[in-house]
Amino acid sequence: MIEAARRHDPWAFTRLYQSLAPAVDAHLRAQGVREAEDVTSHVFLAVLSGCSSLHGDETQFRRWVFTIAHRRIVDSRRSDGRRPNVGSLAASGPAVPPGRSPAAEDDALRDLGTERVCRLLSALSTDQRCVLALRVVADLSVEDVAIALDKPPGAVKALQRRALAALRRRLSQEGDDGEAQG
Amino acid sequence: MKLRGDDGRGWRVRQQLDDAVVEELLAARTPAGADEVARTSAFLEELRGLAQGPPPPPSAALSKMLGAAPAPSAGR
Repeated sequence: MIEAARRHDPWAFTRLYQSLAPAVDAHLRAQGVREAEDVTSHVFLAVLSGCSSLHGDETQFRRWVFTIAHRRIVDSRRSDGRRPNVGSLAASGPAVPPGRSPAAEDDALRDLGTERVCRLLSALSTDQRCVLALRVVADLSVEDVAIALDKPPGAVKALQRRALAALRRRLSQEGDDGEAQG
Repeated sequence: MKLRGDDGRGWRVRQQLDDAVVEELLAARTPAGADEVARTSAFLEELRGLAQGPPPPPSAALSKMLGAAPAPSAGR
């Protein structure tokens, strides 16, 4: 598929978009990027224009796509000059493709879940949130995250460890609060 | 694999996770003998689920680019 995309095969582009766009969109939302859908399109426009010169396998291609997404996140933060808007993910929710209308109950349940995810992610630093999303949402290895973020692998490991420790504390607190209220 | 740092004072304790536990969690597995991180594992599953939805609709510019991509090269 990557080889076909290098040859600008429309079928390959469409397949790549369908397979990677949900993760790119989720990553952007997890970082608090406003108008994540539009930025996702910008990322894939860059992918389309640059992939003919890319050499490597699917893993390298995936890393490259998320490296482009990370640059867009950095640009977004610079232009916003603020902390990530952690509410954007919950506010927008997953996109619904034309012609498809999932049940309203499903949407409501999903929105409740994304709100909670955003609230908990807001407990993390920008770097911690970025590393965690690249590991979990983008499914990149420590080494690939290190390359995408231009950080040493050891720094990535430290960030993910601290992110999980912070989440664990936050989740414990949430559980304790729930028990106290119950 | 084990968790270090619990001193029985709940969430305020220093919670140090070793690399093996971290990798288990990031791989969507609850580490053996570490029930206390089950909540973290469940949260990561929620986070992972955000990427399981349908792709967002492409912008007009991207739709145009996808539609205008040149035909496959000869010989395919």
